[in-house]
Amino acid sequence: MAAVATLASVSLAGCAGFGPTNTTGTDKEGKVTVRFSYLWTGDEAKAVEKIIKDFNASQSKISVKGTSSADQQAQVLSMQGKNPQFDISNTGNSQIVDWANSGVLLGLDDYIKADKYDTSDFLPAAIKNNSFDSKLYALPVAANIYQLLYNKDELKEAGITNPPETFDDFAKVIDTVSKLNGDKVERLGTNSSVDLQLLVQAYGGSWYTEDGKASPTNPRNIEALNWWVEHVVKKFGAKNLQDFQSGFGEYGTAQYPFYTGQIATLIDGNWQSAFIRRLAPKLNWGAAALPYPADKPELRGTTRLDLSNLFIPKNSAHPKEAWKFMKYFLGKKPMLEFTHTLANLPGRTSLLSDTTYSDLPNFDVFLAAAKSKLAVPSYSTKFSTQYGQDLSAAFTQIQAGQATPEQAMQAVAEKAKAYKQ
Amino acid sequence: MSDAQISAGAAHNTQAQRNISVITRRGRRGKAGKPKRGSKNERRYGLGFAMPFLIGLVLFTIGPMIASLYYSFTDFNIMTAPKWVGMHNYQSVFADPRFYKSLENTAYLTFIGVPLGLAFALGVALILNLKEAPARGLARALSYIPAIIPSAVVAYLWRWMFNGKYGLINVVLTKLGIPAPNWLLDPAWTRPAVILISLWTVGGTTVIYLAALRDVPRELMEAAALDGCGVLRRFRYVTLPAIAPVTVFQLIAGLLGGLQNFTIPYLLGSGGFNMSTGGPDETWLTYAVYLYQNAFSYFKMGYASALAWILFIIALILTAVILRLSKGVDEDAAH
Repeated sequence: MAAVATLASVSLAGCAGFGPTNTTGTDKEGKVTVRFSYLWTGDEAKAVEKIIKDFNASQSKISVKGTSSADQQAQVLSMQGKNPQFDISNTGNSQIVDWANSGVLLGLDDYIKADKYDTSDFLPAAIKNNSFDSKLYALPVAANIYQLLYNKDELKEAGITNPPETFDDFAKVIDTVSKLNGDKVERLGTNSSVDLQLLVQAYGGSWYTEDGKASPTNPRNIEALNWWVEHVVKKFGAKNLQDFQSGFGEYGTAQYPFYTGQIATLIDGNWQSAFIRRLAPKLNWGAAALPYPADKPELRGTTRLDLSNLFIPKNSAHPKEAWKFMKYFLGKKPMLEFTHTLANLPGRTSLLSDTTYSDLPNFDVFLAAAKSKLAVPSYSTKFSTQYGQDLSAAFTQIQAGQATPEQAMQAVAEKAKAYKQ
Repeated sequence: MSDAQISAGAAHNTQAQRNISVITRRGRRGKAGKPKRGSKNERRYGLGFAMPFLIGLVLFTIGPMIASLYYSFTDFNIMTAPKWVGMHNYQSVFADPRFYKSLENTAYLTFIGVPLGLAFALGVALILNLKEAPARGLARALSYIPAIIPSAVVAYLWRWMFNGKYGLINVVLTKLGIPAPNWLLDPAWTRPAVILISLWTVGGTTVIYLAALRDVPRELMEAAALDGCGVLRRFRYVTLPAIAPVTVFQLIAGLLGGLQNFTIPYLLGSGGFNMSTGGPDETWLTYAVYLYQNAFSYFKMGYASALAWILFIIALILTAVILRLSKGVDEDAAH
């Protein structure tokens, strides 16, 4: 009964809208109040507040009030109520198309046209991702990209001076850098809980068909997963890998296995430049492109681009003022300052060559990777979240040796039949 | 003689009638032997005082339940108006392998965890009830403390306790020469881990059992002891029947709570941004976690509402079965 009542209460609350809110939206100085609710927290939220403070000081007609709220449910509920909780917010790349299709996002084209705003400098992949039905609904303030991080000392110890380029090289690194004590794994040449979705993409696989349907049983996906099973799962044993992984420190702490040397390579994002500088300053590490299959060298540079987009909800009380703040935040100087603090990539291509980022270790590799045409956001559909979770469950079974890639992907394909298209 | 016995009305007891008239507000005396029904004014007052609760019940429980029933027949993602799809959601639920997986996980945690929890709580209560138990007051307080620690804190604490290499549990097991399982990564041990956490937080049930044990008639225990019954037989034939009504209540409450098991499995399998992964081999995907995923990760409100109503029906059936099987427990206990 509690589940039934709670579910409906939340739904109804969303439908009716919830407040109270300042519907006049002006403060006592007569400035229009724009509410900016953002998902960033902690130190990242502090960087956002600095941008807000600078914007407020730069003009006298708008006062932006920021709220850090990492609650995507509240975000969605607010956007379809009559009393919005915010006038501008941020989100990733996977929600834009779905939200635009549902009619909760404000199209930006009219404002862009009226102000003659130049969008040609923004990452082309972002413009494509944020457009629906030929209309633009969001713009990227930051981006993240994934590369192969490697422990230079451990690779050198195994006689490897250069990071792996192809999957064959990668297999060699895993083989020679890993250390075993009998059956027990003491060091692994790769992260045992690697992002298999991305690894498969780098191998040339694809999780979606051209028309946006789920394609887990794509033969190249199966081949990529079998590569992983052969070179990692079967090689070291699922149980041994599980025991090895059980002692891992938490992500984002000094005990994380890449920082402590337990794993020699890691597929992760550009924010590691800031993380490693803070948590493992003595780590001698490098970054390189993800491996590519030797039979398809044209796939070199394949990686995933995650976007941080700013958008205005359709029920925003002050869309014009929100747009003004958005333009400010997307300006070169604020964007540079913000992304440098977060060790994120900028949303503008012209900033990818900016020397301000040179103090971030190995960040140049990530900046260069963002220029590749093969650095693209993951496909955004109505069922992306559910598909991602089904794949994640399937990967767990593959990693545990409980299912072959063929069996696991077939199971996902069966579930995919029920996805909302 | 207790107040309850007095107010029940002793038909031929004039003293009892006089006491009833003292208790009632206006001192009215009813016909001999029968308590008089409240007047219209009294009913109005009673309704008035109950109104806040009734308004809350309608607004926040019954009303949303009716709305949820409607949503369960629609395709509703919060952002667009609900679209009527009839029985489609219910048909999809019964064809969904994850529905059965979440039911299996919930059944495991409920039908193993709840009886174990009751037995454990009773055991602790029996020990704490002993006159010889040292520092009884302190021991009782300590046994209750885990029950008042917020669930989120409990989950994160036990995530560290269950760490495969450095967690306290495995360090102790290894020192004792017992094989230390991978509690948080091995699907064979993830659900027992949740049950172990729930055993740590049985303080509330323990306190209730302690109160129930106090009500076990001393004279029966003494008579049984005089008749030569040992500790175990006294427990089996005197204590257990005496606390049976409490056990039935705790069992129903525990089973209903078990069906809605959410916080610990959700947090242990947490993947950030309102998402839970469901854990290794989805062994932490309880029914409530799956319902939550559908509602707040996938925004499939109609589907989630259908899941909620199916859970409601399961809970109703379970309660009816338990009440039927335990019929007469109160009467037996009284005898």
